[in-house]
Amino acid sequence: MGKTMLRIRLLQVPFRLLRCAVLLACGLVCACQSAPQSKELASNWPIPLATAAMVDEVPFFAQDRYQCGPAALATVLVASGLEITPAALVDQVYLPGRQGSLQVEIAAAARQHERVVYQLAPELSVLLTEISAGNPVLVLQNLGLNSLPRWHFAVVKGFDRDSGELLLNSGLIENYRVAMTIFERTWARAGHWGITVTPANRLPATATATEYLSSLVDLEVSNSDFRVLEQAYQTGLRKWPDNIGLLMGYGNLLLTGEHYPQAIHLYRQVLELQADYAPAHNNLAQSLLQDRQPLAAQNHARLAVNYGGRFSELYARTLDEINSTISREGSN
Amino acid sequence: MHKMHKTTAKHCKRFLVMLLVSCLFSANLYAPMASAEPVTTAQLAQQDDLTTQRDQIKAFLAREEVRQQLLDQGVPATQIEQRVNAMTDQEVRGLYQRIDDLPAGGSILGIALGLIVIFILLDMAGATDVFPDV
Repeated sequence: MGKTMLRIRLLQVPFRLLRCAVLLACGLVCACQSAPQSKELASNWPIPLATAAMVDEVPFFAQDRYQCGPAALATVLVASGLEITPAALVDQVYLPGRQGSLQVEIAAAARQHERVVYQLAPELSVLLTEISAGNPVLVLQNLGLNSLPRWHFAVVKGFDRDSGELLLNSGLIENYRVAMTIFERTWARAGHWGITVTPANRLPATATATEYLSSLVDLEVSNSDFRVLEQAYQTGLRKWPDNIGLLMGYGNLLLTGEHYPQAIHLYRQVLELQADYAPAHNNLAQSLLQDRQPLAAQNHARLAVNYGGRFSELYARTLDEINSTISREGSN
Repeated sequence: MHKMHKTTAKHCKRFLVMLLVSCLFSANLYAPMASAEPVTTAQLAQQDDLTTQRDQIKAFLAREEVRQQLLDQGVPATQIEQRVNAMTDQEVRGLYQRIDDLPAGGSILGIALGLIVIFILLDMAGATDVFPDV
C-alpha cells in the first residue's frame, strides 16, 4: 500500500516540474512582452507634463496581514484631508472569506466618507497627470501572473522620467521605487484600474464632465449629505458651466432637497441651452407645481409631453397630476 | 442532511422574498394614480436602466443575494446592511454571483515554496513584482 503511494508520489514529481516550467515559461514570455505605455512615454514624454513630481503629505500605513485594501484606502482618504486609520476601514472593506478587499467596496467606502471616486482612463500618462496635480492614485495590481494572480492595492504618489520610475506606498514599503515597465505589466494584469479619491471641492485633473457626473450619481447612492453633494456639483459646474447633465443633476438635488426656486433657476438655465430638452421641462413643471405656480407648471408639462422621448410615460404622469391639481383647486 | 436543510430553507426564503416583492410591486401597479416623478440624474446619466418592473425585481433580488454572499464570506451580520447599501445597482450587478472570482486585493504572503522560486526568477526578469524587497 505504502509502496504504491510512494510510486504515485514519485510519478507526480515530473508533472509538478513540468507545471513549474510551463509557469516560468509563461512568465518569461510576459516579461518579454513590451510595456507599451512606458515605452511610449520614454520616447515621447507629453510636453505639458513635468519630468518629475511627487504628492506631498501622502501618509504611509504599513498593511496588516491581508489588509492592503484598508491601508491603501486610508492613505488616499488622509491625503484628501480626512482623519482616519486603516483599522477603522476594515469593517467597511475587508472580506474575510477572500482574505482581501474588492474594488467595488473600496470605492463604496470612499464615497461613504464624502469623497468623489473617479475611475481614471487606463493610461499611465493619466496617472502621471493626476500626480502632477496633487492627486495620489489608488491602483489595483496583479503582482503575479494571469494564471496565478496576486491581487494588491497600492498608492502611486510620484514619478521620475529620468530614472523611469514610479514612487508608491505599497504593502510594507514606504516610497517604493519601481520601474514604470514593471508597474505597467502588473497594472495591466489588473485591468489598468486606478481611482482618485477627492473631496467635493476638488476636481480630478483628467476628469471629463460625463464621467464626473457618473461619479456624483454614485456618490449620491452612498452618501446623502446635501451639503457635500451640492459642493460637488458646484465644483463640476465651475469647470463646465454649460454642461446639461451637471445642471440637471444639481437641479434634481435642489428639487429633492425642496429648494424649489433654486431648482427652477437651474432647469431654466438648461432650457436656455436647449429649448426642446424634455426632461428639463418635466422637472421644471414639478418644481413649479411645488412652488405653487400650477399654470406655469402645466405649460412646461405640456411641452415635455409634446417633445416626448425616452421618459414620455413620466411626462404624461406629471401632466396628469398638474391637471388634477388645477381642477381640484378650481372647484374649491 | 444538514446541508440539504440549509438549501431548502434558502429556497423557501427566496420564494417568500419573491412573493413579497411581487406583491409590493403589483400593489404599486394597481394604485389608483401613480405619483408623478422627476427624471432622475441616474436615468439621465444612463446608469439606471431598470425600466420595467421585472428589472426592478431582479435588482432587488440581486441585492438580497449579495447580502447573503457577503455573509457567506464571513462579513459580520451587523456590517452587511451598511456595506450593501453603499453600493450602486450597477455595482451590485457586478458582484452578483461573481464574488468568488473577482480580484480581491490582499496579501502577498502564503505562497508555496516551489512557487516562491519561480516568482523570484520572474521578478528578476521584470515580469512580476511579488517580492518588492528582493
